[in-house]
Amino acid sequence: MSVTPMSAARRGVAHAAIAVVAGVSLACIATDREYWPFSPYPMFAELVPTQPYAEVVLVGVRREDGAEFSLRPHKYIRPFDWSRQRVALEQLLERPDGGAAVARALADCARRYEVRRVRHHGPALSAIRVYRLEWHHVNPRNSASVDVDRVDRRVLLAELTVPTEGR
Amino acid sequence: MTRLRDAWERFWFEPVSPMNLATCRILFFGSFALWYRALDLRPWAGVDEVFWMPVSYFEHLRLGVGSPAQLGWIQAVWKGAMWCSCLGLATRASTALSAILGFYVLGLPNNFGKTHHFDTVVVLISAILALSRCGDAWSVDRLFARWRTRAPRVAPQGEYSWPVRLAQVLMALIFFGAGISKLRHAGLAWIFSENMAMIFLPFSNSWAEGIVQLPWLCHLLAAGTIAIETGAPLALFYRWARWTIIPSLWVMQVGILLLMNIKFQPYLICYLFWVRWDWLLERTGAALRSARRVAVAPQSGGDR
Repeated sequence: MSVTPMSAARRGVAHAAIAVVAGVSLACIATDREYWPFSPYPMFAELVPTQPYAEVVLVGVRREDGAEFSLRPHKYIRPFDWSRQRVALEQLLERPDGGAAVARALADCARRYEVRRVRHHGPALSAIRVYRLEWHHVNPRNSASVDVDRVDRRVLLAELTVPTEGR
Repeated sequence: MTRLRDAWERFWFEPVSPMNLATCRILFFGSFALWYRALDLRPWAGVDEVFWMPVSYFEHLRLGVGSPAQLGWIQAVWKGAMWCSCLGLATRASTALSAILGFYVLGLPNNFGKTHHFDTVVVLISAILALSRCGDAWSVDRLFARWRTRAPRVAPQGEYSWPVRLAQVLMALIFFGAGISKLRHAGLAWIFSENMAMIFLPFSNSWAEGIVQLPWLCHLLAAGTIAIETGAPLALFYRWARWTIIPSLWVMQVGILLLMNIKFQPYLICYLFWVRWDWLLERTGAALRSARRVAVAPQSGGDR
């Protein structure tokens, strides 16, 4: 079967697509800058800090007994996943108006949790807290060295009291 | 200069039949129509504005979050467009709609604090296919054309090779970027420090815990990761690299999925662009025909 040559217009379209896709991808790699969906893909590129090893966590406080529990599961923070929720909170904490912004963010987290509580069956909240947990003696060969009960320092970054609904 | 131009032509515009591109179209859109069937953007409409941190074209075009009803319509049309693209029904329009709406649907969650990279390859390859002639074969459009006008078979042309090539180039650059980022931000310490063990630390499963007990294995995995990521572009030019680096990248991403539960499934699907489906289908067809001939061939010698 004979070969059909491409028209000049179609070659132009192809070259434009090549220039944009390859060009912008290479530019992002060269400049280490992100322009979604183009990226230099820096996931896990930074060395994980070891001294200390730190983590920001979001916890709820159970109304019935005051015990804390992790709000990490997706069902509690939907539509966020934990990675996105954590980074969003960290960015808000860094703002000049961080206090007000984080309070508003926690109120939203609590509201979304409460609205979906009929589905995820989590306990009623009396408060919601953001902590920074630090481990000062991490053994990379032992995952138990970063257990919650081995935290060396716990810093309360923000807290919001969840009002009781009127009875 | 002539040699460079000839090499460019051979790389991007080798005349091929439309079968490979058509197969990629069917598998790409069919797989992602299934993968994203349960995706629901509507809860994002209920998230407080304090979390709205627009990035990229959302910021420059001042795109916002629609109402739940609007998001519902957008995602429904997008999913429908992907199915139409898979079937090759109104292919030019359906692939264009898949690409344009995909930029919004898959991009929206990235404006709430953190950009994820799981879906970038889907968005970009959708755009590539929208600009291509991927509906010229194995499509409802083609069936109608042959029925209505008795259109002849589509001749081989470069039109059907550049989109697949560009998808391959995109994937190679993605991994290349990931490897360069590691070297840029951490240098060789990414390989020779305890970093790989520290990466696995939060993921408490028996496989990850077993790997971190072996420092030599952690360093080997780290070195291998950097090698295959930075070497990914070689797969575009050398057959030996295509047969070693691409499968290694696939295995690496499967490993990341199993050990760290990081959802790279969209990438795993996109490896389909590295398979020569027309060659595979031709060989399979020939093998089946040969097997049939052997099955129906008259017995030679035997009972008389």
